[in-house]
Amino acid sequence: MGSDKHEKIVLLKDRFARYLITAGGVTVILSVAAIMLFIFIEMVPLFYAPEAAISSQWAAGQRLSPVAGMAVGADEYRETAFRLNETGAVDFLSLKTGEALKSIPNPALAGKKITAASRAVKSNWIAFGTADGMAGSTEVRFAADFSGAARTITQSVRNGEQLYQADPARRPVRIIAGALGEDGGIRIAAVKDDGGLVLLTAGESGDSNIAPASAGGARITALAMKSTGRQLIAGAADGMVYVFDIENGQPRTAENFKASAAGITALRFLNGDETLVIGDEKGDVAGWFSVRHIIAKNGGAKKMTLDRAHGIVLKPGEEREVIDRNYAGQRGADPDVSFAPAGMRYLKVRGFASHGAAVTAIAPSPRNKGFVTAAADGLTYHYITTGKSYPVAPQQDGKPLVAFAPKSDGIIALAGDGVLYDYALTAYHPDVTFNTLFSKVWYEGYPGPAHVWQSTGGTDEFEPKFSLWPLIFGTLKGTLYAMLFSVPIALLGALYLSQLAPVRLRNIVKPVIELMAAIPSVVVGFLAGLWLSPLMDRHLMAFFMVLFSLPAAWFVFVAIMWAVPWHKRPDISGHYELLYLLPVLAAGLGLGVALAPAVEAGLFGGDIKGWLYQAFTLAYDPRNCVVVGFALGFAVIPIIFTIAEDALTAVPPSLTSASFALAASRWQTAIHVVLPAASPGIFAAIMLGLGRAVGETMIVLMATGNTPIMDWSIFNGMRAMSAAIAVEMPEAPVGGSLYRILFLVGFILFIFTFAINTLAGLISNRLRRKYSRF
Amino acid sequence: MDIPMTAPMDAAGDVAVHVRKLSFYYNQSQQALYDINMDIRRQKVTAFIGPSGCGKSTLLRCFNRMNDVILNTRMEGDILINGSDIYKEGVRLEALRKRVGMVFQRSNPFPMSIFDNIAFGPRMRGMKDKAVLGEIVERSLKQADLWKEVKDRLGKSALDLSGGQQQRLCIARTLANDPEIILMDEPASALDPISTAKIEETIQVLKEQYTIVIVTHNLQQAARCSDYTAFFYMGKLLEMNVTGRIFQKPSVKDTEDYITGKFG
Ligand SMILES: Nc1ncnc2c1ncn2[C@@H]1O[C@H](COP(=O)(O)OP(=O)(O)O)[C@@H](O)[C@H]1O
Ligand SMILES: [Mg+2]
Repeated sequence: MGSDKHEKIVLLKDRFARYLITAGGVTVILSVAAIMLFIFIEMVPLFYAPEAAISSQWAAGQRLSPVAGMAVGADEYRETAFRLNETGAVDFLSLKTGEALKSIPNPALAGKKITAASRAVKSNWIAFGTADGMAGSTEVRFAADFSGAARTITQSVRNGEQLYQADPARRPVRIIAGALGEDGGIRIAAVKDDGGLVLLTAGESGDSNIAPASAGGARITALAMKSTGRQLIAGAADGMVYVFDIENGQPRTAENFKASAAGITALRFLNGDETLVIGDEKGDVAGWFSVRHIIAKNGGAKKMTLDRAHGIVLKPGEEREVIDRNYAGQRGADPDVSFAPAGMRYLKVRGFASHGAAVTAIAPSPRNKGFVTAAADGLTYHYITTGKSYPVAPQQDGKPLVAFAPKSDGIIALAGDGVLYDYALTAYHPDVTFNTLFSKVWYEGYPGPAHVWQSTGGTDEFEPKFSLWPLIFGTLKGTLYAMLFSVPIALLGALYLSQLAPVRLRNIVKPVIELMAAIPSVVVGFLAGLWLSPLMDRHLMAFFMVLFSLPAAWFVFVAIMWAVPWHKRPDISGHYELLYLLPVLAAGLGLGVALAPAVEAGLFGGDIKGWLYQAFTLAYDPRNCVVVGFALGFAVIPIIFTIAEDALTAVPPSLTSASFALAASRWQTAIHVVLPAASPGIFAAIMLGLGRAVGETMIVLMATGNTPIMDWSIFNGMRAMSAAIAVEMPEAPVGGSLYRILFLVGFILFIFTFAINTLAGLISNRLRRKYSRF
Repeated sequence: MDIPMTAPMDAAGDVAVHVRKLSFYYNQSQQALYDINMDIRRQKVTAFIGPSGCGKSTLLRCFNRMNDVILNTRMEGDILINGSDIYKEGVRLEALRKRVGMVFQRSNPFPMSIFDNIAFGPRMRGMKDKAVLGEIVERSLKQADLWKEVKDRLGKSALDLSGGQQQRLCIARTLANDPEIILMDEPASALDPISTAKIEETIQVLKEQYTIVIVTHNLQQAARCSDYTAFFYMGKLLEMNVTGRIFQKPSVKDTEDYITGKFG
């Protein structure tokens, strides 16, 4: 009976253990799956296309007054819309109920008629021109009050101090563009009825100045002004665009260029004043950047290839204006080529999906690099970074006035038939597409397309640059240098310890190396960044010297050993190599360090870093990949070493005996028998080390300068994916593009390690099947 | 000398291995062989018999210096192969082991293809010519009576062969080195009777060309396939003679006891 009971208990325990283990396993799998799911959910919205949907529409023409509108806008919460009408009054309309709220007239415009108006990007400041040749400004303001139960918004209008005379002949102003300076002064450019272009500058004190701008007699059809008031652009009916510097109030032609075969119908600077969007009569929309140019002159007698990638070849004596891609920096020492500044030139960088009819208006987003274009066939939302276009609404009757809501979450449009549309714009990540993440993008201010990671700037005028390649590259670069350093050391060490070293040494060395793995990586990173990096910076030459003197000492030692007749040689085969080798290596080390200053002075002009730059344009960054290779290698070596050593030791002696008995030497046996037989383990060791190097965060974070550059040079740093996540997570607003991209980076990192581990498993299994049935 | 040298001493040309006053120690002082003197005849099969632990394998390993791998061993005396001392300074181990091949108790094919296993030795000596290697592989496999069984799967892993085939592969691998002497340490002890019979047949064929030393536990085997038999006991060579004599009329009491199964 007793044994029966005992059996039951055993059975019970067995069952309990089984459930517990199963539960544990399932929990692990579920939590990994849950983490993946979470990462996926956080990252997927990046790829949602922006969408616009009508949120309300009101017959403003009936609810307000039947006069024509000149400019529109809305408050921050998209509760109220306003319309500047042709009498100069500002009408407010509730977007919730369609109710007309109030209308504030401009007393200075009594009896006058507005013929042209233009709204600023970031505020509701509006420059206008009148039918009698006057120009002025007004600003619509919204104040939100949260003191009551519900949010209340009060609307007000602040009219400009005075009207200015744009045309002494008092003819109507046709086109207008303006900017409100930070000092309160204004700049207004106006096209008069006779086609003449004038620039009006007014200080806050009321002094004003008017100056004509010459566009060579072309008929100007569109105007745009930078919001800083520094540059004026005029587009003409023949497709020409004229650029004026207006900084000091006197328009000075900076350049002219042909932007289109058709007439220019709309011009606008995007938020940040860097991108000029040009719309034409045929409906084409294009983004133009102002790019610095230089004149390169080949002063030599031979043909000169300045830039192979861009096909820039200069004949002897030839002078050519080219985009400034830092040729002067790259060619610093070349006496045959000279460079002269050629100023900024607008270049067409991106074309967008065309409208079917002339582009009538362009409205830039106040928050990012998006904009809306209007044409007879509808409204389209575009994004400059991605080059993508998304239809907002088809068929708006007539010539709509468009504006973004202040938070860029809506678009207000007033159609020619007096209907006011309020669109909700759902564009959380318009700046991210698969292409911007993985292909070269021509960003504002750059001389050409490039892979750039620069996630945050101070303001929303900054164009975030989210190319993932610099990060992926950084991870690969760091890993490569770490592996380059650690694999040979770890494998040779394992080979020595398993095949040659005396057992006593092995019993000491192995646990010590395993202990290395227990050092927190933050300590390694700290040492690398704060001790090794400055040390190497100070003694770079000594580092180089040791690189040569150590192996040299070894070779000399071996050579001497070979030269001495073998019966006179001390017997070092009995595992005392180490005793003999240590002083030799120490001597090599000492010699390298001692000779370094002399060699540096003799061969490299006393400054190895300067010499490196002179000879190879290699810039030396103290936090570079040598340091990373050492530090990361330090973390990787114990992993590779331990596993490889185990694998090598596990090779059955029967195989080595067979090899010896077949007249193979020790070396041949190690290479042809031991290594292949241990290869699954060695391979797994390398792959595990690789996985560690790829995922390691603290070391790459602390030992590199974290500069996201794409350059294989061992003398500068990089930014690895893991480090990017660690560094940038605190500055990434939850739900923003950067936040989600960091999740994507994490996902890619996971894919990397997953791929490495899977590959390791597969190959290692194959090798094992091939090599390990003894 | 208390060990009777019963084997007739012929002309030196007939002796492949000459062992003189050989003593062997493990761990510096643990003596495994005591003052062995013997001659092993050319192109004959010599069997080493004796109870476990009496030093047969140790002596065999002295012939191709496989004991060198073991730490803390010491040897006294001389071994002359074809008249020259193999423990002399300057003897190259690889050259010696090419001449003196060895087959182990447990088959130990490399985790490689059958072809690569056989070609291993020649390749280690720098032979690269595929055609020559192919000939060597075919000849060796034929000599080891394995050719018919494996000629269609030379590229397949040697580890897929049966135990008996693996052991014959190891013999073929040794033959590929074109040795003069083949040492076999209980080559059939882990095999079934049919495989054992095949190996014994092979030995009979091989002795036409090679000098063979075989350690065996199986007295019938020694009786069947050897020309000479040496009986070891506690590290000493007690008796060595023509096989027939040893089995019918052993001159030492211990030999008789062992052969008749009184111990061992
Ligand atoms: N590697 C070794 N280290 C120490 N002692 C050994 C070693 N190999 C064999 N011996 C000892 O040497 C003696 C002879 O062994 P061995 O030659 O293997 O005998 P046999 O082959 O006749 O069975 C035994 O006592 C054995 O324990
Ligand atoms: Mg034995």
